[in-house]
Amino acid sequence: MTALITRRTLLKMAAYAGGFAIGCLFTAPGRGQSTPTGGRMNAWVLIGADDAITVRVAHTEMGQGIHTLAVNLVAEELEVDPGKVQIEPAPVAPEYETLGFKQIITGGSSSAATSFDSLRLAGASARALLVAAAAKRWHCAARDCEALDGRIRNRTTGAILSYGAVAGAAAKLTPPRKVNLKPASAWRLLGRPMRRLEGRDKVQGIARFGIDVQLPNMLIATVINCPVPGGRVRTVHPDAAMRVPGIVKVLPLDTAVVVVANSFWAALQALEALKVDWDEGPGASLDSAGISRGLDKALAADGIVAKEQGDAATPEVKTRIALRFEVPLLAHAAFEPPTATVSIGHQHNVDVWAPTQVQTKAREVVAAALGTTPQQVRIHTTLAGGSFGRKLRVDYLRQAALTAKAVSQPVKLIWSRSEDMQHDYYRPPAATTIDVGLGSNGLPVSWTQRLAVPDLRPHIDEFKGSTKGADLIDSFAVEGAAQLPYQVGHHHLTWHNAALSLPLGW
Amino acid sequence: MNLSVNGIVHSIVSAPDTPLLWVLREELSLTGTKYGCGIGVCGVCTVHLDGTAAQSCAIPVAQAEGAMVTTIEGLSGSGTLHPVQQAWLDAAVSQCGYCQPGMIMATAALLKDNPRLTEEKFAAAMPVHCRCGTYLRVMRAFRALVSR
Repeated sequence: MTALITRRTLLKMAAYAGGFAIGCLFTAPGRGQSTPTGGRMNAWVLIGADDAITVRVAHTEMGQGIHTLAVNLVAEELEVDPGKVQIEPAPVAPEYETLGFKQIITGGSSSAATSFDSLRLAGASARALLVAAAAKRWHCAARDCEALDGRIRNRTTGAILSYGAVAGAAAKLTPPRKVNLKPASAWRLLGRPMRRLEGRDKVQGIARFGIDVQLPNMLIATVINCPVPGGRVRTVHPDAAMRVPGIVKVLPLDTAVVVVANSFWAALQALEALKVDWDEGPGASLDSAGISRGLDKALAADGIVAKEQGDAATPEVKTRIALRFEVPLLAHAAFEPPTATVSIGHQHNVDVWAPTQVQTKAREVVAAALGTTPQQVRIHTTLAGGSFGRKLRVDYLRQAALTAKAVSQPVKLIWSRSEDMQHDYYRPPAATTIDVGLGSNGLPVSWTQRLAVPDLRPHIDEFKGSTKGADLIDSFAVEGAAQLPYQVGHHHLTWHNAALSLPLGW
Repeated sequence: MNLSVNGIVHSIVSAPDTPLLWVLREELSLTGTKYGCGIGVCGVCTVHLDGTAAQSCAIPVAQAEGAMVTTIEGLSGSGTLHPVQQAWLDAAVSQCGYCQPGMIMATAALLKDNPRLTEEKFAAAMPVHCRCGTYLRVMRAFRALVSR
């Protein structure tokens, strides 16, 4: 029997990847460097001589509150007010990789779980260094000092040192090999409602999203992707578009055409004037009715047993209910459309600002598009105006990078709303029939379900190789259906792969 | 062309048919007003024209000439929060926050017109969509505002 995993145990990618990141906390580049302005305690915590506390956060804030949680995790152990902490999006580096994923990723509802220990350890380790530095200054034992609200108090003399006063010295000390974390009973921040740290910026309209990035000398681009997924550009007729005031360039890419102008409005006007012949490919005949028929056909065919529990003959069924449900392709429809800003500087050093959920992958795709090394690309993660999984994909980043290269100027690519709705990595469509048997008390006693949904794994790089052998069943396809919330005497689920050649995703 | 935004008159170089939204965002760097649908449907680009809520993505800038445009950046004095912003913050409405400037501007205009607005009328009149689904907290913030 295949062990079923759920989307939330994307963590199990760890099983493929291996490794445990906590050790990296103490070997961050730049650690040990202290300056008159303070010092870096570890990969996550920087303390300024002016007592400014900066916490690096690797996860993308898209509304789920992970910036707030991350800072509170550190602050709980560091003994500081989370409201006074500055957040700095982490750069792409091994020590910031999401635990178990071998990359930086915000997805699969994994952020809190993967940060819970490591960020508390980062806070505790930093606190221990600061206390040790203070103890050294006072020629006393560390146990005679206590950290409280950004300061260290000498229990014997009552003397006080601010974190900033010892940060430079603390950064030069050897980090402790082992730190103790507070028991939950001692928490003052965790386990309680938290104020969203960027909440005030958001109500004032000063929170900066990807679409808000502005650079000197920056052009604006927008895009039309081949109306049929899988199709390609055949010929572009740019003449009318090139007559639109403000137009800079029409750039055909393989499956899309980008229009660059000095404003979004000019780019959009030019896009509307553009004539493109598309090689639509075999997808051109696919429509909603066809997708529906494909689901029906899969349902009618034999499926793979994904769950078999209990004995079909045992439950005494009084009433039977036959149900059928179907859901269409769904676009994630994040309010902020795909957007990325790319600036190519001297010696091919590249800066990218984007609301991406996958920083490591973003860096790789931009480097590949530009022919640079990933190390030459810096990803600056912005707030995301929603994402819901859409920005786990990097298509728009590649387009933005190629565009910036083509015009030799910084470019902000903004997809229009209609492009975003039409060209998602859609959440897959599904059809299901469920026969529920109710017992004499009206509660379900048997549950027989046929579920037609595409195998998602061929659509996700990390899972492309996992569709054979023991992993016959796509656990993503049967997530939720295999783990029934009802206790029934008999549960039978078959999965019917309704393969679909459209861009699909979580 | 001159445009009055948040009490300051700007000389505008954008083409007259450019939607007000993009003049605010790209020419005046007032990026608090957000792009959502571009066709005057979703409401996230809501600003005030002479105190009335308007969807800035669907108004050519030439049409706004002569009006007093107010954006989220100009809703209250610098550093302070407008009562609607404070209520939003207190009720922890924001999730991703992208639609919040539009929501707050729309609510401020609705309550200015009718401080005794009922919950039902507010819900029906709210022209701004929220993809995160914060509506229950929006109502919590609204109730706090009208019960003061």
